[in-house]
Amino acid sequence: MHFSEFFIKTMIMVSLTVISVSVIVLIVLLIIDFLKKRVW
Amino acid sequence: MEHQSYIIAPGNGWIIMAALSVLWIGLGYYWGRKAKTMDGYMLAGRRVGLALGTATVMATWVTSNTTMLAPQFALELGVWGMIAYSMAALGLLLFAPLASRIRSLMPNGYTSGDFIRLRYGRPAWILFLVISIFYGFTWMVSMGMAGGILMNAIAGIPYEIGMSVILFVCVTYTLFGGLYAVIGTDYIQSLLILIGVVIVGVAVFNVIDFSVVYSDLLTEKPMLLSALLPASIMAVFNNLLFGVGEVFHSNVWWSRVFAVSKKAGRTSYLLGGLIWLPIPVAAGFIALASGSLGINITRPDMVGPLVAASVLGKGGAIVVFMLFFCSLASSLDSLLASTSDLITQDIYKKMIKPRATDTHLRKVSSRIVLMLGLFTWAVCLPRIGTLADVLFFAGPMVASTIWPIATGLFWRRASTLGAIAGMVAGSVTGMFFYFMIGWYSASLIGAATSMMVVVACAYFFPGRFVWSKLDEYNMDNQLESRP
Repeated sequence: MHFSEFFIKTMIMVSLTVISVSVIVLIVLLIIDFLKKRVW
Repeated sequence: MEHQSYIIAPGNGWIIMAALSVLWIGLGYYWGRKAKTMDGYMLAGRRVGLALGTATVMATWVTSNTTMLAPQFALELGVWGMIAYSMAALGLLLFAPLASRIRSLMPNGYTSGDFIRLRYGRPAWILFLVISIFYGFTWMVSMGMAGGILMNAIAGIPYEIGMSVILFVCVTYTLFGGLYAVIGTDYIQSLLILIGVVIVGVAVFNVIDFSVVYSDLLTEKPMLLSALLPASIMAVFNNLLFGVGEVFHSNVWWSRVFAVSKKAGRTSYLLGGLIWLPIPVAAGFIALASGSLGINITRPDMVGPLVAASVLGKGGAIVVFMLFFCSLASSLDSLLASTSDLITQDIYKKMIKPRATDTHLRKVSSRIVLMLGLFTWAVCLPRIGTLADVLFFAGPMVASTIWPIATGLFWRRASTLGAIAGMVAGSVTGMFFYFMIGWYSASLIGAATSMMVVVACAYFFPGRFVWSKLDEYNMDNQLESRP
């Protein structure tokens, strides 16, 4: 029994998408922390 | 592509390495000016916000091992190999509830050693320190070696020089700024790592024809696509438990619990874990394409950089170089700071000089960072073993600490006898299976044995722990204020 091509492709694409979104999330979180004066 | 044909010209490699070195040292110095007190130097003032908390958790967990070993796992263990490496994210995710528990039980704590000492007493504490410091050194040595190997493979910079520069840079900015410098640089490094992984992943995914890669694998290496490969499935559980053990016991993660504000602690670990989870898949899948791309793999742990360089060309190779440099720096600085904290607080202050002032401890801590860097450099110089060998050797020992810590935080019945016997039995049996079967079974066996011993002792020889004993500094103040 083998992993299907569709499964592997989907796993890779979802991973790349989540990482891309994470960059935005980290930047937004820093802006929020900065505005609320709780960066440190 | 031959292993000797470097990804970027050595001249460019030197320039990028120098630029990043100056940047990290400069930023470390800038943020380090805040580290005037001992709490500032060791714990960045104990009020770090969610953004920096999440980034430091994620960046520290992305090591050169993630970016080098995840492709190696995919190359040797196939699809399960990538999934196995991703399971290490569960260490961060499962630590999230522990983070808030630790912060509420020990609001003024400093290290993971503090917890073991107060919860289980001196013998368990000494055993734990041996495991934890051995693991810290192992991780640091594997990082230092990886630095030298990568700089050499990517830009032709001699191993000794590449390894020395990365250690020098991390030691310098950690020395200047303590955890302020570490967490501040971790934020920028985390963004660069994530962007680098996406650039490499998307480029490889667009260049290769995945249907061709899949059919090539099915013909030439069908085991890599197998859903029922026993060694790989065992590696999933092994990595999961190794990851959980690493995070639960290591002062790298405990120091962040004490550094991040009480409100943001749990969420930082949850978000950090979720962001980390897809990285081994995104960094690892490119190894599956090495056969179809006709790349000659002379060393399995170099498969990631070789495939990335083959696809991305010269421009993209700079991204690969930066990605690895950031991965290394973000972990090495954390290890230097947290191992130094452990030695300063648990060995120097508790065993050698209990009445040492904060100013004195601050100086001692800096000297220990320097000595740790020198020691790591001396061990890395001969270039021994492969990365996997060095790292996974510590696996059964750290896995044996999972249950003493998890039960010790939530279960009053968890006893000193169980903690000591669990750590000893788990380490010994795990090491036995490391040599008898292989690295992929050691952590699994170590954690399972430790669990059985800890639970059995809690039932047959239960403890009756009083939680307030963990707030050591509050208790000391109460005793001092008594007439």
